[in-house]
Amino acid sequence: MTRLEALRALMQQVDDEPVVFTTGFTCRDAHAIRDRRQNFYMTGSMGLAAPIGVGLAHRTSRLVVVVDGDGAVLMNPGALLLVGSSGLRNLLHIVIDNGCYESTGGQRTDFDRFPLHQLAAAAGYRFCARPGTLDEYRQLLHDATRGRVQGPTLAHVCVTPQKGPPGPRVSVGLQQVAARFRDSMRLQPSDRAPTRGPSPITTERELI
Amino acid sequence: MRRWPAHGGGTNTTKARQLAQALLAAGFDFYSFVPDSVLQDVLAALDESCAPRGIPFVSAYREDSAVGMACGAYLGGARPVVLMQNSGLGYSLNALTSLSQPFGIPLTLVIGYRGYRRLDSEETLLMGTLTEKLLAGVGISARICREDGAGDAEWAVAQNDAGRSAALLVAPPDGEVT
Repeated sequence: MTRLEALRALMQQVDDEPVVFTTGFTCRDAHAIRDRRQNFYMTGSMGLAAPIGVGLAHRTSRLVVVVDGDGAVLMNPGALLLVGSSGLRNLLHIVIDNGCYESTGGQRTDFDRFPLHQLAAAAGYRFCARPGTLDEYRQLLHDATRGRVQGPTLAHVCVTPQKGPPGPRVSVGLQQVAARFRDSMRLQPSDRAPTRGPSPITTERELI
Repeated sequence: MRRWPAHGGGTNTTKARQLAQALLAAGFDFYSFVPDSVLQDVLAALDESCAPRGIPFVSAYREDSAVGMACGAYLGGARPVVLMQNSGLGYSLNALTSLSQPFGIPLTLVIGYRGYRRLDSEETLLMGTLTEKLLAGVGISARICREDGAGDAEWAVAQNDAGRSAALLVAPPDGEVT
């Protein structure tokens, strides 16, 4: 699986679910694959995609998807504690792990030395998955968007380095990105208060 | 040099309650925070008042994450407040300069003003002299809120409604700095 394949699978699956994309090539590729007002392109502030997702998930009953990177998790690992302790059932935290800081020249992250799913489970994530194939990843997205997975959910998606150039820079003005995103989040009749509950630290499960 | 009192020098409890109630009455409906001794009574009052109203009052562990969470809440339709000590402005600078400000996300920051007028412990003094300059440099209007908060929450709402972030600086009461 490559980052582009992982992003394409997500963009095919989502309907009106808001998605927060981490900085760098992830934003650019997502924008190139399928620009939509429910996309929040976090072009700066590396490490804050998950906190943004937590704040958002407090305000909606829709599934909130955060697309993070291994380098961004390393920059702000405290965000795992924030997500885990939130108990938010409508939060899907995808960590696309290419083992390097691809957007800044490919410096290694050595992320595989950290047991991410153990860290997340200890932090309070209810479900931690490490899909090994594109099909398994698609199945997880399918289940999550249909409310069949109770979050906070971690999807650790290992990808091979991307070949070829990234998508062009996000062409939408940042204020417009925020304004249209907020408009897309206005309450709909189907929106209810988000479901929360205490984090069951002990319910570590794995998809595979 | 005058020293910080042993109990931490929080604001007067009654006045802290008034500030907390003023924020809630002004319509702020999402609170992320990192604890601060100056704000301890404000935080306690908010903690008590938010829960029965179903208003999120969320510990963020670090100030940049608090700003990130508040931005997410705003994107979800909330009117958010971030509470922190001014030392946390350092951690927050990137979040303010590359997230809230360029995206036009208006936040209200309630900031405990350690080092105010250099009447504080040594490690707070430099940030004490930088706090208002940093906020001005980032483009966030600030005002010192020392008493009951009357008018302060309304001022912050007006700033936010105009699309701008606002900072309410809470200085420790003179009488408690010994």
